[in-house]
Amino acid sequence: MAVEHVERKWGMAVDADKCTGCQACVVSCQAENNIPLNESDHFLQRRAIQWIRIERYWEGEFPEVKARFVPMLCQHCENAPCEPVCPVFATYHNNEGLNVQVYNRCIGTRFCANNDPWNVRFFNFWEPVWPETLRNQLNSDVTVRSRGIMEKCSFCVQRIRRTIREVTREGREVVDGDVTPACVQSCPTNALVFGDLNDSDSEVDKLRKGGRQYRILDHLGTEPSVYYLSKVDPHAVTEEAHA
Amino acid sequence: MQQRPTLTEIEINRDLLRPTLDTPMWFYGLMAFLSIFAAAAIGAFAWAINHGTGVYGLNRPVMWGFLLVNFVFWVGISHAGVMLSAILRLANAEWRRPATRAAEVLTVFALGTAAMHPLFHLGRPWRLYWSMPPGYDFGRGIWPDIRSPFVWDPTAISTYLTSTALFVGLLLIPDLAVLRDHSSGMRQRMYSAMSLGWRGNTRQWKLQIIAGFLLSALILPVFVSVHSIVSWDFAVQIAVEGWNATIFAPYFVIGAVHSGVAGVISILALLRWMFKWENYIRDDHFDALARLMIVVAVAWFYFFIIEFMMGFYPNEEPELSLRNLQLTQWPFNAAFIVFALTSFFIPVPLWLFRKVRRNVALMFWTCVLVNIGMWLERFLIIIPSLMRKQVLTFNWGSYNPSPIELILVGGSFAMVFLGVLTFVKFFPIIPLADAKEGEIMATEIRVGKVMVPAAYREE
Amino acid sequence: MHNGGPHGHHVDLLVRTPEQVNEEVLSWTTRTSSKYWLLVLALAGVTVLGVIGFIMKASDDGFDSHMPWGYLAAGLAFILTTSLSAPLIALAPRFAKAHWTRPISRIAEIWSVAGLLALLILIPLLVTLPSAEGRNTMWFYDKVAEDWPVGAPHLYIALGLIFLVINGFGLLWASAIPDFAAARERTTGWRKVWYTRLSLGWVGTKRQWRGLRAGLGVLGAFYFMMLVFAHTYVSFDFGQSLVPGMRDSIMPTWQALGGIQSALATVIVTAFVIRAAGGFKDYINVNQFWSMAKLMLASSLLWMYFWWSGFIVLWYGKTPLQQDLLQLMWFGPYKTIFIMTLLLSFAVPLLLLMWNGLRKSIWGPALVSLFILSGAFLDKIRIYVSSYSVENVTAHVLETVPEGVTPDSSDIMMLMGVVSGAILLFTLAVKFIPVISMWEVREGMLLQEIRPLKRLPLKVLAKPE
Repeated sequence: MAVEHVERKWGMAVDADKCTGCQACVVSCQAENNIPLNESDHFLQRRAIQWIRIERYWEGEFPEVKARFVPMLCQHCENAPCEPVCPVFATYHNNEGLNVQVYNRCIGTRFCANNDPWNVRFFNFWEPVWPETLRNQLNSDVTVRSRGIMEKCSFCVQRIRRTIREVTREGREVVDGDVTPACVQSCPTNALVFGDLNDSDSEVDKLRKGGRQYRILDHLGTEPSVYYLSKVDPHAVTEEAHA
Repeated sequence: MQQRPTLTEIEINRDLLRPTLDTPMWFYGLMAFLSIFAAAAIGAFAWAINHGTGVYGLNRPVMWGFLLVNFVFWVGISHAGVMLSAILRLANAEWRRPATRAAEVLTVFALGTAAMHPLFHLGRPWRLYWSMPPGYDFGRGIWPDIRSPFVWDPTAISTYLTSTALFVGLLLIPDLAVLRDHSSGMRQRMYSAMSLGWRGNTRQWKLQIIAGFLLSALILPVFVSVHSIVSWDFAVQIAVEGWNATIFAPYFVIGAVHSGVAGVISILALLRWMFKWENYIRDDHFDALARLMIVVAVAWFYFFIIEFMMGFYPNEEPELSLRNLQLTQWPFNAAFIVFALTSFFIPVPLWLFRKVRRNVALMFWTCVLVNIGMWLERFLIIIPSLMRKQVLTFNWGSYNPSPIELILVGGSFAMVFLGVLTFVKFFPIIPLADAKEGEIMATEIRVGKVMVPAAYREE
Repeated sequence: MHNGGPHGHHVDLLVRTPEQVNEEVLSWTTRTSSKYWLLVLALAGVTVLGVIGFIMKASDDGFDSHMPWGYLAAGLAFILTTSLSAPLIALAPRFAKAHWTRPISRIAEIWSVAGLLALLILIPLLVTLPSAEGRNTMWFYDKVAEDWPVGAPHLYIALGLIFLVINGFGLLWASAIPDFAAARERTTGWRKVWYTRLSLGWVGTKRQWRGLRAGLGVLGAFYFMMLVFAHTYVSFDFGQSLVPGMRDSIMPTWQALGGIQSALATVIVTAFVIRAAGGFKDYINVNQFWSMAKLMLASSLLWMYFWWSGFIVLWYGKTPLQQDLLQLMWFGPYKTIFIMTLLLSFAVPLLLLMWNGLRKSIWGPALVSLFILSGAFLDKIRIYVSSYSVENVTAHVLETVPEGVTPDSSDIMMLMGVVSGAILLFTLAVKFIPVISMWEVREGMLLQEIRPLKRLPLKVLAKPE
């Protein structure tokens, strides 16, 4: 559904050239967003919850094999296919360009997960549990989800809200760099850049117009807010030079 | 040519009311046996509520599994009832008489069982009512989202269930009056309340016939809409390339009729064996139903071929890998071969022979085969498509059903049979009035030296 | 005979001796009036106009590109959906042992003679059809092996249509054999020679009858399959496979369904005309129109259902390609045509045929049939002209939605020629092949009668095994 009067439109640029596949973003997201611990069983059952994950693709034939890393998170699409299929409005688009999940409203049809081409929506198959020792590390700004509902990347909406509150108290506008989701904050190579796509001065807006940008599954016309910057392959360059 | 026995009204009453008024002992044994499985299914559901959806074999990306396959299967079975009953009533086909009520009753119980599956399958089943048509959430002031096929679904299914129950109830009235006159005590009071003062006078018959025709005509669009909407649960999803096809609605509807009519034939064969109703469910009824099955099966096969070919047509990776999965990888390749043989290539050539069409045992088993095939068809559409959603191969997955799901699937069969048997215990499953009318309408025409069976026809 | 009982029942059965049936049908078949020849002349004139239109088109645009030939492709599809589909109306009720179809089954089958015209139109269309290389095709071209299957799609379209036409002629011939035999005995001169040849020594032994029934069953089943197949490849090869990226799997089935609808309309209109022209008022009566009108109402509802089923998936999906397809096919340049089709093929038939009084009349179904035929005509134009208007058939997706193509004078002449050519072939055929299936009518008289049940006279129908 088109939302009128969009002030901000949060988005992200993911530089595939800088990503080393270190998984720091995955771990920080886990800690920030109260994601239950993924044990080996969860991975074996293919039920692990990772709001951001590193997809690894192998390229080339042995021995010339290269690993390609694609950090994958909710794309916060403008025309999100997961939204209209929810029978209860548990997921909708807010006026800041976020695709929002309402945990209390979700009844667990998993329709949204099916109609999500990137597989970035996660279902709580079990009641999440934490060891006693980790009880105090839970983030009090983030709801702990119960079983039977969907969850997904929120672009750390709690951080967006806190920042807006703080800058309003300081009496100024939000500027580029004020809001940093956990994954962006923890990325050692600055492969992830977050910001307002409607702000022409923001870094993310410059990156998404920089020439290397592409969007994954763009042909579906869902208008993702996450832009990927293609890999600059030194071999490809030399081959081109030779030719 | 088969000589048709003449039956008096007293004989018809005695034979067709036998399971109701004079229930044999084995009947209760069968019900008890089926109840074990139905109870197991309820237990499995309780277990799932208690422990969470994790007890199913679902995972990411296969978020819909056996329960949805079974849901589509039972909605499909429920389709034959009204198709047979309403279309044949409108067409005034003489051979519909013994089959209509069995078909409608199968519809009611198959649909009721199907309607339980979304409940089994939800993450939070106690919130199902939020997606129902009057599912207004007073706490938050939110209506359901009418854009979602999961809102269309309960709307269509509840309409269909209500109208079919009404259909069955309405057409039962004359027979209930007969039961009222043949029973005593509690049962008599129940039947006399339900027969709404039926005395069988001209005005009542006129209203009864008009109502039957009207409901038949009105129920047909509902019948088509239900399975179309079930198909749109899948077809509207752009993320699952194997599902996003425009042909899905009619393909599902014709597939539903294929499996549903086969289901009705199986039930009729069982009833004929159980209650020795050779004079009522005759060989020529099976013959006519089998001819209908040939037409339906061929039409369904055409839709299947188009849908299947469409996977190769655009030459795109996800769909080709989906076909590759369905055709070459264990266990889907085995399922595919069984599906192709049982749903089409074994039964249809057999039905071309008159001897087979008139052989009740062969008809029963070929129709069981069709339903095995049609269950696998839904399985092959739903699960492999989710395993190969898009080009992002990192997310390709697999699925193994858990024992809980298998118990629920098995239990659903017990529930449907149990429902039909319960109905047989309380109401006549072959319409008495129709059987009597059929006797009056049956006649013969002399052509040269032979007498050809014929029927009077009201227009 | 009880004609109309005390309760106003409308039961009318043909009352003739078998001899009278033969006499009445054959005398009309073998007699040609000057009015008839005038009609033939007029139709031939329009058909020649179509040939001139074709020559104009060929000299102006040539055969290098498929794009100018969209309207001719629509003409082929229209012939397929009307004349070539019409025999279905004889086949399906025969399978269901329905009696009402007996007097009109020959009318339906005679329409298969228009297959000759379809084959002629196919030639330029095949010449201009782009090769399967590098584009989507239903023929598995290049998918299993390189350049395999050989000749796809041209060879298979040609073979498919030739088989369909041969099959149609076979069906017509087989079902007319007993009537040719009857005609053989009652004619002289060249007619007698030909009827003798065509009746293949038919004397009506038990063995011959059994052979005929088996033959009609097999030919009918094959014709049905070949026809559905024809709808499939015509709608793929001349339709959606010319539009890059288009995936509309319901299209062939929707076209096949439209074939049933238009076939009913064709037979109703022809039956109306033949009934009036030949004085067959007792043979073709309201029963035939009523039965066909019911089927036509059902097929019109299904037509809308199929369209909606396809539309909702494309519309809900909302991907750029799906939106472009909706623009190209329905809501872009051909929007007016599409809305007209919706009215003519669905809304008007529904609103009229929902009244039993209108269904149970002679003129009502005939009127609705005219609407349906015009709807089908516009529908074919919309589908095939829009598909033919895409320039780059080997692109990956539809890049831009092309402009609408308005017909030029040669297109209009060709379409007029196609329609009148089909009618011309039919008109010529009815004066040679008995237009009422005499043996089926005679058989029907044996198997139906009016008999009182209690005091009410009712029709009794026998269903032989």
